[in-house]
Amino acid sequence: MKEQGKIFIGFAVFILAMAITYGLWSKEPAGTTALFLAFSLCAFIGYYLAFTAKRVDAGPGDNPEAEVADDAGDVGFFAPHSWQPLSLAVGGALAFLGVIFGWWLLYWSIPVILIGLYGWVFEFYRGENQNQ
Amino acid sequence: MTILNEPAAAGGGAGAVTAGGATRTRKPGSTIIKWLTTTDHKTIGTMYLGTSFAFFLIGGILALVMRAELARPGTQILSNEQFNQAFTMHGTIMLLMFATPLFAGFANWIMPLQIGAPDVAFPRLNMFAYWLYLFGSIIAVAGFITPQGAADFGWFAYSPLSDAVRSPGIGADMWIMGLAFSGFGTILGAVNFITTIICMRAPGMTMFRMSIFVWNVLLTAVLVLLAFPVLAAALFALEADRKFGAHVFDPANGGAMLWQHLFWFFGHPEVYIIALPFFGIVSEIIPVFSRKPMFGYSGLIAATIAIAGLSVTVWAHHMYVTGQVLLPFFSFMTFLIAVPTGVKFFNWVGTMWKGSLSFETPMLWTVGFLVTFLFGGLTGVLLASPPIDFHVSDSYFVVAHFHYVVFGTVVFAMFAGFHFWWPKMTGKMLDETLGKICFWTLFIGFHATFLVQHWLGAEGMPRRYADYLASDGFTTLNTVSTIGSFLLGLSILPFLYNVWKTAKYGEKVDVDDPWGYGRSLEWATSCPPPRHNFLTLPRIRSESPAFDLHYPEIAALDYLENHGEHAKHFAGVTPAQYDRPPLGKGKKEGDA
Amino acid sequence: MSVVATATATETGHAHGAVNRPNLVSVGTIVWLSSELMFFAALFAMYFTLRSVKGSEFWTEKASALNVPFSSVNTTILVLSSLTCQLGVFAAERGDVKKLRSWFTITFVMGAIFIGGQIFEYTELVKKDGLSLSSDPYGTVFYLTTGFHGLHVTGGLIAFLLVLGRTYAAKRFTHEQATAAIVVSYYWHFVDVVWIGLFATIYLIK
Repeated sequence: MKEQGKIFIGFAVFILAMAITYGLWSKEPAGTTALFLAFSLCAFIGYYLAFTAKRVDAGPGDNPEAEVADDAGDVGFFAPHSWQPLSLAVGGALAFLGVIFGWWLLYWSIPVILIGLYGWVFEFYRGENQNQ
Repeated sequence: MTILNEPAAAGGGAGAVTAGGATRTRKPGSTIIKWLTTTDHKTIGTMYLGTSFAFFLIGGILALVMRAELARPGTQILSNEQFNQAFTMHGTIMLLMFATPLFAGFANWIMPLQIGAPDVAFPRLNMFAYWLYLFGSIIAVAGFITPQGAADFGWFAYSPLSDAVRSPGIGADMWIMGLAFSGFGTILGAVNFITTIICMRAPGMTMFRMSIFVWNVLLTAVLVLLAFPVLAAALFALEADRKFGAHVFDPANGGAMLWQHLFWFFGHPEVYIIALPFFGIVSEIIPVFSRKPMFGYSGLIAATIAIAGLSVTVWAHHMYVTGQVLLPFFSFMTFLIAVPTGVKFFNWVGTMWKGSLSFETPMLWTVGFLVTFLFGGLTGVLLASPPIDFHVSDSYFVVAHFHYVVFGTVVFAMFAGFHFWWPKMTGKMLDETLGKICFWTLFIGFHATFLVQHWLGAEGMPRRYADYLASDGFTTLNTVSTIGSFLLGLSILPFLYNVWKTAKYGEKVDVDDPWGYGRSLEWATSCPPPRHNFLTLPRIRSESPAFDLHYPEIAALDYLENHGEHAKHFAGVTPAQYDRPPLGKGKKEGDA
Repeated sequence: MSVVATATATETGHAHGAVNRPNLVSVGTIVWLSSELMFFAALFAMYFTLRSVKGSEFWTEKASALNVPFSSVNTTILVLSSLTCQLGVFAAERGDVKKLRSWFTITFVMGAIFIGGQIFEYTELVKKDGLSLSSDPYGTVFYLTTGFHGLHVTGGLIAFLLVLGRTYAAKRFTHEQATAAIVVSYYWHFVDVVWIGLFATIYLIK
């Protein structure tokens, strides 16, 4: 994670220099704001990665001499299959259409979103795939 | 690496453990449900690739209709309004519904394989991102079925043309909200890719052993984070202007320039979002068919990082002719970005230099990319110069330039990638002859369409006009361009036939690496890979783990020459001799 | 990697893995939050551009309608809710689910008060001062920036409810739930920091 952090911090330094140069030279607010916050984005991720790299073990993915067995253990949980992305997206699409065609569409959209959200969050807390 | 907590229901595609799989019969209903609910990055990748190719065909048909209209003076096929809708939706579809999700498709399919991950970090989020893309794109395109037609203000929707007074149609609203919706899908996809690459690399797969493609996916995803949220906010504000009477892009408040700044702050990184992954694809293909490792691996990565960084500082070179941008800054940065792009060319040519080249279809498409993109890059350097840009801006010269760049990159590299990874994705090789027919018709058709447009632009033909006069003197070149475009359109037919023929009669691939000299990790698993990608992972000690696995003698020789000592990880392997290159154990000999 | 095992679900539940890996969900959340910065970047860009075009006189005149003392109190509540949220996270890291629930409930209430305060502020501005989204450029950027922020806060409130729901739905408090609490706190702090930026820009600097 350290190297990735360095890359993002490198981006941050470059964009900060550009933001200052551009801001002072052009005095144009939109691009200057965007550049400064682009700097924040890179600094934010870079700082987080550099900070986390200190707190966790250097994983086998960062060890040039790692053996395959070094990565044994629980990688994480991967959903086998799921309906929830579809229902959440259908609900979201209806909500976006509601902005165009009228807010009444939200009567249809919000229940679908709630079902999707509930399903997404509690999918593995209930039923056949329960793991909590 | 073991994946625990995998409920038994997931075993369906795993290959390793399938309960009762032997007697399973095909049920269309369950297949559809499998696709609707899948969280497998490979299936989702296939859905991305298929959907974006369908949008490529729709956008292509729009282009053909426009070219037919422009073949001769006079309006024969489209009204002015329809022509406006056609070029708007052509641009929107090709950039945001074809090229961008095509990146997500290839990244989904190949990136986890190349870093040795069992899946992407967030499988359900991955699927969600796909649905956002699909539904958002359908909403935007569905504008065509509304009474006033689809959006018709050009794909960059300049304000005040895009406000409620000048573009009252509901198709415009659908365009705005649809793009915002699908844009969130792109952002979530990028979050997924970045997290996967940072956290889920296989043991030994350090950052500087990742394949160039994975590097490019990482940097592209970072650009998505920088660019797409800006577009989303700008689109919401535009919709607020149109629907709720807000004043963000009111010309009286400087809104015209504000929109352009925000749009191009998204729009220019977007150009690199659709270029970098495809640079990555050709960077995978060239070493395999040159039988050499990538020349200047770290230099190529440094160049890509430089391009990604510079690409956020050049947005206003699309705005030279407003006369209100800082010309020296943007011109200088634009010239500067040509340098790392040139470095990439040296890497690619240097890899081919003195290589043992062979020109199977993936390599043929790659060379087509090199030729076409080089030309587009050179006209890009011309356009970076404000005096020239003032003269040809918004003319067909610009149209020709960006089609050379974008078509050259996306479409040529897409076909290269399809041919290259088709056996990995489906387990069957695409037909070589049909592939070559497709390439040559497309190559000739493309250059006939767009080369002449440089001259049209220099002579003064403006872009986005539905018609011209016979006395303008544009007729001959326009006719040539239209004939070329129809040849280009026809060239897709052999490819579609090839896909059908391969699926039906194609030869099954029973080795991990059908090309014989594959280097990156995806060539160390079966074709197609099992549900979680690898039954066994090789030990990773270089950026070419599959090559090390299949040709340890040559890899050991390579290490000996580069480091002056025998490699520890090749203990017991005798480095190859120059005169008698040994063949891989049990692998296909290849054509060298 | 040997074989993809299909072990039964009951094997989770240990609070910490054998190798101390970076948490996927945390990394993903941070990456996504960083992209939210660019969303607000565009909103800030609109604000600054309109302010520079309309001139400072127009701006200060319009901004004088804002009720700064009220909003300061509201801001303080939001900032303090970040504190209670963090206390909830500390509880989650100790595995103290009861404390987590109470701290997150308090945070939820404070966030809801903030949203209620914002709605009150909006109605006052519309009724008394006639400032609305369509009234003038100042109203436009005021409501767009604070409104999109308010939507984010509302999303955070829903997230708190879901985390609380998870602690009740599960048989025992697991590492996964602690992670959920932590990433929601990331989001909450982020929204809080954005609000501090907005507050400073809109209410203090004007």
